[in-house]
Amino acid sequence: MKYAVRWSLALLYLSAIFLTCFATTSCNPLDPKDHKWMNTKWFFFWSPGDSVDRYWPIAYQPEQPIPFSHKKHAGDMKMPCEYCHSAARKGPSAGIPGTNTCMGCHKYTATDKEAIKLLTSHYDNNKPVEWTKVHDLPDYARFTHKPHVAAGVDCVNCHSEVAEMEEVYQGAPLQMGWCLRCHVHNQDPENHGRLVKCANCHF
Amino acid sequence: MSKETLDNKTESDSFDASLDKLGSHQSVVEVDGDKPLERPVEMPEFSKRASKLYTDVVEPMPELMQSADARDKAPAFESVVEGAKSAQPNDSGHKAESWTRRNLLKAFSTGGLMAAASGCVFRPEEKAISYVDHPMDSAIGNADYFSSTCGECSTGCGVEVKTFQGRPSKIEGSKDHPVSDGGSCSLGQSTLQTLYNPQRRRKAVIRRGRRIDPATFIEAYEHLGARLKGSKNIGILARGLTGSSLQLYKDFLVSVGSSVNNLFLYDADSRGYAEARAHQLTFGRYATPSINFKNARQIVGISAEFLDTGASPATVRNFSDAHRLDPQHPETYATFTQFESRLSNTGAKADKRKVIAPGSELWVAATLLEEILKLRASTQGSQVLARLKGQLAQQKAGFKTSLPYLKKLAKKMISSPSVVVAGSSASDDNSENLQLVIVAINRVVQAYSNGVLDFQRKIKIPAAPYADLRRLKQSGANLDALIVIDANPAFDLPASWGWKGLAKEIGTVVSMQVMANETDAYADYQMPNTHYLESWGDANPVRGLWSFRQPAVKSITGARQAEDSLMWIAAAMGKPLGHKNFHKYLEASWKNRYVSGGGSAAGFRKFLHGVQKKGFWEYAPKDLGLGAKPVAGEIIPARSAAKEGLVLTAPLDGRLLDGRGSDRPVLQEVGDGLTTIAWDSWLAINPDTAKKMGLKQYEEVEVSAVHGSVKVGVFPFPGLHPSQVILNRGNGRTFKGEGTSNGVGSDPLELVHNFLASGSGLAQTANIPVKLKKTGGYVRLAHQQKGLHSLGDKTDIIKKQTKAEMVARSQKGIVTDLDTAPDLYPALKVGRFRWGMTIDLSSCSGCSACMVACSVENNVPQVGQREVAMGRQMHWIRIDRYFEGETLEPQVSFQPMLCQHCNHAPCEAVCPVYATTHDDEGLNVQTYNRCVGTRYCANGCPYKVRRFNWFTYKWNTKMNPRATNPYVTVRQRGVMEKCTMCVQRIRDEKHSLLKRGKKLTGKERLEDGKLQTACQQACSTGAIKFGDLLNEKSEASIARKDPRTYAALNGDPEHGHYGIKTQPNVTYMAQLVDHKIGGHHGEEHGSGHGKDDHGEKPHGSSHGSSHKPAHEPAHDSSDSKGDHP
Repeated sequence: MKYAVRWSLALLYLSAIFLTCFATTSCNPLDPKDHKWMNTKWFFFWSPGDSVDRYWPIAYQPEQPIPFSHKKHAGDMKMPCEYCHSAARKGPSAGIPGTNTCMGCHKYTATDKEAIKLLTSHYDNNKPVEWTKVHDLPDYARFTHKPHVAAGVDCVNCHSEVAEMEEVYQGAPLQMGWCLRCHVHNQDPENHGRLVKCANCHF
Repeated sequence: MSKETLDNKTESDSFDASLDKLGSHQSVVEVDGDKPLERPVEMPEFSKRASKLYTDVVEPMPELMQSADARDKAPAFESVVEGAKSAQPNDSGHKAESWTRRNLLKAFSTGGLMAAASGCVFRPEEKAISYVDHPMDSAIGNADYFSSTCGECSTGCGVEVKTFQGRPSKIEGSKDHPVSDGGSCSLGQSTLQTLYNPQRRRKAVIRRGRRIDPATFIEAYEHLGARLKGSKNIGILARGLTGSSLQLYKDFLVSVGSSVNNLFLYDADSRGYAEARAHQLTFGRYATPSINFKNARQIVGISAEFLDTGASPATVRNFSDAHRLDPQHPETYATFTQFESRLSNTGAKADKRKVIAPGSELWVAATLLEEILKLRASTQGSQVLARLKGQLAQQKAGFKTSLPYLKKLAKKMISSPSVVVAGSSASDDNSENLQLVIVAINRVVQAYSNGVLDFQRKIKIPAAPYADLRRLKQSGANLDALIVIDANPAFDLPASWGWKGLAKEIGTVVSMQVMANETDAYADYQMPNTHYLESWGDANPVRGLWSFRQPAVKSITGARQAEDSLMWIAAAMGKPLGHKNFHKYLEASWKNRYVSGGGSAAGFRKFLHGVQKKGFWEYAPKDLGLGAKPVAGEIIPARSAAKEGLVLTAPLDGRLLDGRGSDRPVLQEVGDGLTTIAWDSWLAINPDTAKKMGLKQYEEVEVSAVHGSVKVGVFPFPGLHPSQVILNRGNGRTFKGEGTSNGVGSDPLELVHNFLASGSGLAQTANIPVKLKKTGGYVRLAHQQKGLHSLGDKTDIIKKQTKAEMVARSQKGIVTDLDTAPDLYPALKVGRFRWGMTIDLSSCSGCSACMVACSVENNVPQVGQREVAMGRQMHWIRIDRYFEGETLEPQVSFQPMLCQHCNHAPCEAVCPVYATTHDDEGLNVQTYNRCVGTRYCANGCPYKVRRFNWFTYKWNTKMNPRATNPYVTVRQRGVMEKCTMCVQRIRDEKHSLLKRGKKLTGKERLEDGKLQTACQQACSTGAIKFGDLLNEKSEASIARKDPRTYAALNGDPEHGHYGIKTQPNVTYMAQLVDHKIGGHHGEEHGSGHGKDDHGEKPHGSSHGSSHKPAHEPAHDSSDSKGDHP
């Protein structure tokens, strides 16, 4: 009797997962309306293996406190990535720009929009904007932007076409296997193995 | 040195007579703890203590201090052992719930499926919080460095504070700073554990009767101002300091209408007082000279402690440079001889160390003066000697064996530049006389004029005036109010000094402390002070040097800088100082200094910014032209008490000092440099004395002096005079809180009752007559090195060479290839870099600054006394110390032991999940997320440097999330960790080679010295040399090719013995000794088989193999297992 309970619970759990995931293939993962609830932290998994962009049609697209549109800024206005994310060439983190960078323009531009009013109130009240990290790695993997930028790796290689995103989503799986595809390919034979090295990220 | 003969035990009560039996029936240092166990030892119970380290428990973990209750709940060793012994097969009637194989398989398959489906973790929602106003030139994730001045003691070292987004993460000695010269000490390295300590008060406190009310600072200022309105007699008691803050205190006193004489300062190190006083009497200026050891060839120490607590990192480096043999130029070597009654780190580095009776320092100096005067006449010197002649003959009995050395020494001191350094941090009646004699000796040997001692230009400004403590005692009761700043008189002055009574008599006591401490209990107002990393200020440690202090972080707890509080109080009393805050005051004072030094008012801003950035301002001070005065009349030698029975000396602890470091877990856990005891106090006693008194290690004794007694555990220790017992200061705090130091150790100041007749009014902390009595209890001292290891014939752990040998080998140009050994491994793969390290054993003084620096840099947890006693300490680098020779005067070796990054690592081969790998740059890399906790690697490591996380250790999540270094993973339970050669720093430096758009050729070399491991950077002696072995010019690769260099446990490749053939990247340079002991005869054979260890079986046939030709396989040194913890 006990085993029956156990088995059926397991089946229920599994089917719940499969149903919710695969049954929704009809909706557009990039459309905010369709998958907000799937982006809650209780649901979204870090999946094993190299499968996010191939088998799972969902991209992690969390809600942000201020509806900043990269499409408008980086796409239509063609602002370079490093105008705001200037720390990318200097160190491990690309860094979200401080509110003062936004206010550089938005003190005068688009001041009638709700989003800008919200931003301005944050700035005036000395309250930082708490963005939710989209591209996040577990703590044991210590990624650093600097050598990638120095080596000429384009931002879109890993962050996909952010310039076309109204709301940023994670387009690449960011698993180690996915990183290794590049690292193994780009190794300099003379400098044998300097890219494929545990100590590069795990310390 | 002649062989010691076995002496018949003559019954004699006089401990002086025991000096005749140097080494007595033992020729090898040995105490009870070293003997093999005949039966399993019962673990003595831990003393009843309780304390919590941090709040916010994340994972269950045994408390750092075990309370009796907690211990009952947690499984003790005994009960675990008992449980194992009594475990019976389960045959009772539990069939209904027992697991049969069938059930197990079913459960597993179910579980497996569930696990497969939900095997992922929920994705945590992480916030990226950006700045509101992003500072210019600062990138998120990159460190910002600030120059400041350390405020741990009055030395005034310049420090570089590494901050990440406004939070200090690491302290380093400032490279160009004249006082620190790039090095730092354990106190400085551990300073962040006070900055982020949860015991720091957040609010001001007003005491109303028996009620203690938290208040805002403004309320406290107003309240105090109202209370003190009209008071004319306000005083300030502060820790000794120099600089503008001192001037502010004086200005405050003047401004509120009190006398400047109401400023009382006191310093922890009593030697400073005596030395400065001696110079005042002789030269007319209360200060101490700067010392340049490199200009001396003979250095004589008489209870000198300059490598323990008494000197700045620059002085330590200066000494190490002087004391390091350059085999090409052996004549530049400075020989160091030390006469002391206890074993100190300084004495351990001496070429020749003689034990003298406690209290005979003055007489040793007098004898030395006498011998020197026989060779060179001096009126001053003779007058000084004449004062002491009366008792000299009688006192010589206390150091009979040193007399021939003193004679020889005198000859050498006359013929070559020399200097005498004397005085320990513990003082007795003769301390000042000793310093006067030392000054006289130094004058006779012309140390002041041949560039060794500088007392004309770079005079060291003492932190505390001479008589302040005495004045406070005499006139303090008349004060209306006393403001105590950064001083803890309730603890670091002995109770018999009378702080309690004084505090009662003084109308109002205000306490401004960084950490909550004992003095707060006597205060009517507590106004928490900021930590020095949050403060403005400066220091003037040496004439010609002003070191600047700027905040590296805003006040974390909301505390206010004491100087600011003073200004507010003055304003509340209606007598403002006239500046907006201390920052403005500081600027004004610097402007004055700058302008009066010849600068223009317009250029001041630029100048100040330059000073802030650099950290200090140096200018060449003028020659003072001080002349010497006759001082013989000042010498009034104290009549020494009859030397019967034991005397206790309470020196400053090397890491905790007078107690200011005791609230830092990392300092408590690093342990004493010599005994390696952590989290406790101990009574060091001569092993022969202990045997005579029937005392064994761990036994608790009650040490009683005239007015007090303390209970402490016994630790027999070599190098002590038979009548000397040592109990370090620093522990035994009485502050009852949740602090780290609560319940740790015993305070020797409870035994101190005698106040010296000198004008300073300091207490007698040396040579206090005591009696010991067994209490019947045990104290399980948590010492990290299990025994007092004798090296015996284990010559491949520490290699020792005499000076002649080193010079000869250097002339022959012997280069040992440490990378080849006959084995089946393929050739060594070399990548773009090869990281290696060489540690000079001659330089290492065992100060443990490297251990603290590594722990801070790499987020190494502190585990507490119980775990340390079990051998589970987490230090990635430890300092092993070995004793060889006689018990009284052993040859001491310090060996920093860290992961050797073996090229043929035994640990890499056995990891079942490939969590530890060898990368192409020579590092043994540990991948924490792969590790499953098999601990097979630790089993295989012959150096025992791998550390396992038995628990997820608590971190201080309240004030500094997770840990101090955000760029090193904090390890979880079940993960193995070890030294990574600071791979995070290596990676960052390698990335600094990258330039956008430029392809690397693979031949770029890093600039040597720019990339430093944490331990290398902290080391003041320069013993640790790390670098790229492929760069021929790097100091690491030069040191590796040195004839003195060898690899630990790798035998003696020169003679075909390869030891365990681990081929490490970390090597050691042989220690310079003046003579070899026992089995090290003959430089030809690396392994010796000298005097048998007491009770050890001789290694029969293996002795023969040492003479076999080189191609014999596997020498027996491969089975010399060091019994490391």
